[in-house]
Amino acid sequence: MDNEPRPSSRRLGKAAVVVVGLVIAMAVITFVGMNIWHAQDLATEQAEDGNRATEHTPPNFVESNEREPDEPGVPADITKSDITQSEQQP
Amino acid sequence: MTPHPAPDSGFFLGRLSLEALPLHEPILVATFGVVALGGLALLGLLTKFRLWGYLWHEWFTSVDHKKIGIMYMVLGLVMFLRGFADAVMMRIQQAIAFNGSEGYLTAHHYDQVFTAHGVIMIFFVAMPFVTGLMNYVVPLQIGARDVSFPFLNNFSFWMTTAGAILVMASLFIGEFAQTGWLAFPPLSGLAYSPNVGVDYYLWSLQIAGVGTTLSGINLIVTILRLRAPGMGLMKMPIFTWTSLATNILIVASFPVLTAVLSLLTLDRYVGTNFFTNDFGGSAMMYVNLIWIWGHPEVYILILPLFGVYSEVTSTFCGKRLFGYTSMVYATMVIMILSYLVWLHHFFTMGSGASVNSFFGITTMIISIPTGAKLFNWLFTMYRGRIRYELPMMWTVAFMLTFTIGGMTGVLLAVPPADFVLHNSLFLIAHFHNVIIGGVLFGIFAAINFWWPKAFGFRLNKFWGLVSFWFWVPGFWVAFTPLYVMGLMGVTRRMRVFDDPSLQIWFVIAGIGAAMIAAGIGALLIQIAVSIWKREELRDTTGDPWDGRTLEWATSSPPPEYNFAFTPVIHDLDAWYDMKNRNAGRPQGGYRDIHMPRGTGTGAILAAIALVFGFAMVWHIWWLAGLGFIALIATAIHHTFNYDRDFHIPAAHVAEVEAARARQLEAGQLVTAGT
Repeated sequence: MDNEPRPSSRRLGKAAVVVVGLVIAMAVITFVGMNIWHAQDLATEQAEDGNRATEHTPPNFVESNEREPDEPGVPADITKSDITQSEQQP
Repeated sequence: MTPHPAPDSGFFLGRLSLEALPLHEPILVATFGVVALGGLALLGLLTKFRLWGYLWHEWFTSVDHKKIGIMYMVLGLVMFLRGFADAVMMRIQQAIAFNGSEGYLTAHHYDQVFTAHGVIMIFFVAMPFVTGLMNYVVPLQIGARDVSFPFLNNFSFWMTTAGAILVMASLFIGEFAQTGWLAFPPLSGLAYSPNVGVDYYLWSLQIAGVGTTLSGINLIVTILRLRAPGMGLMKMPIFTWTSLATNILIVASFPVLTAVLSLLTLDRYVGTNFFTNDFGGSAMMYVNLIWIWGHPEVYILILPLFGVYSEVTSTFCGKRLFGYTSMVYATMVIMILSYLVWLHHFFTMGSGASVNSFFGITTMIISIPTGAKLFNWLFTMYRGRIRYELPMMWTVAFMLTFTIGGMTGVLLAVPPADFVLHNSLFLIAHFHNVIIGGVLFGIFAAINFWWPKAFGFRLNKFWGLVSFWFWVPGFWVAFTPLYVMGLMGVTRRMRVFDDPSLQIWFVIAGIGAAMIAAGIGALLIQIAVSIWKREELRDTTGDPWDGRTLEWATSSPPPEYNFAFTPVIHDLDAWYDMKNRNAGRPQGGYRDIHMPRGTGTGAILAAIALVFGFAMVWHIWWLAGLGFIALIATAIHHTFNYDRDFHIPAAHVAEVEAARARQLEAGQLVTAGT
């Protein structure tokens, strides 16, 4: 199929070790570099007093958090079904 | 529909802009700069060693099921390192985020990390490992020369790889989903996840899903149509049986995943309301649909490994598998039942007592065929001449670990208990208990078992033992604290904790993760040392474990054509039977062998699919359109490729077989000499 001669087993073994070593080194560098960045990012956010814990909270949820709580109302009577209770309400 | 907040860079780049690249982050720029230099060095090395032609012709374009199987395993291993890196990050974060500290990950990053961990481990680690194993072993076990559709096999592999590349691309360009691995709406909807993360998720899974589904079809047809003469269904090796069940599950369930992800895609791209909160949408419909795929998926992963454990137990106990017939029926019963339990993942939905009871009971029933399997393995071991080689050790570790994981699963199957434990760390511990204890341990057993077949030399035992003894206790140290905390009510996916008394448990779990990391390191060293000392570990027999099934009948590694003659089967343990009857190897009468020819179309199609997916993620519509047209055009062009096969001349077959005969004789002389 291929006109080039098949590489020798020795050359393949050597290439495999070098290539795999390089790939692992790149993975380690990525891991370490990104983790340092993560830590720095969090420190920056805290310094800016940005509470990112709520950053994904949708707007309506934030608004509902800021609303005054509703009147607690009358506690439900758990001995009666919902239908019975609603029927009893004026 | 909520307007899309991502900036639009215009017609040519869609919403892709320099903002998507972390150019304003010096640390990341330095990191990626070094990695880019490493990438260039890699390309230079491949050129220096003149490997481009070799890799392209011998591997990337190969339709040989054995090479494709190995490439799947390599893909799984590479992605495993990424998935495990995510796990380590979670363990560190949760171990230090106490007493006012927010740890070291922002919520934005942490959510991506746990999502990427789940997605990668299931779709791009476990699935490639399982598919790779089936690809490599099944055709050999049934005496076939290749799979039924060799080109489709190559295409499937590259589509899976394209999906994996798209997930990895999100690490550098943009971001990944922050939704959890199943991307439940409404969180995954446009209103709550307006950026590209969920789009990366959708397109990577859709592209990889094409590969998985086609692979499933391919292997079903292979098993049903290409078995050697005499191999009736009840003479099939048990691994082939479990592979058949798995691929039926794939073909039946993956289209549901494709459909549900398509509907979510429509919600996000077109503004439909299948799963939105408003306009008649129902998020619970998504949850139902994705678990209709999701629960069978668990069995897609575990069933082939049940086959591995069966083969290993039988081989290393020197006995025929106890209860073969019941094992087959148990496998098929599990396959069917796996479709009837999906609602146990969300008992808390509020379906009512009757529905929950039904799904709770069906879930518990699954433990019956699973238990039957366990007893069969134990009875196979009973009075067997057990050899504690590495595959057998992983199998015993599986039996102990998986049994406990299974029992905690039955506990979760009780709806009232599930109401308490739902979404807690108990669930996480249970899931990892069965997936690591069942799937991953099985993969390690399989790698140690079939490595000599694939490469012609065994794996180093010392480093294998080091890996084993770090992995198994490491697993328990990492996940027992999660059981404890789950019972205490600690919920999953938490980034920061208020209760300082929990910290010690997370620290212990972190120590377990460190032990597992050592186990992974030892595994890599095991492979490296084995390659280095391959001549010392060389197996000339092709049958280093005194195997019982057909794959051990041929040389290690097997020739391209697998078998010079299609074997005729008389017994369940076909190769063991041949050895017992002193069946000789044929010495002549070879004929030309008809084989499929390699093609680069699979890799090209997948590359185009990758470009298409990337363009869809970033709304680069012209590129997406062009990509789609290119996909169709390339596929049509390939249908006119008539250069699809070739014949291996009989003279070449005779040469290869003669070399094999000489190798066997030399091996016998060495054995006699020792």
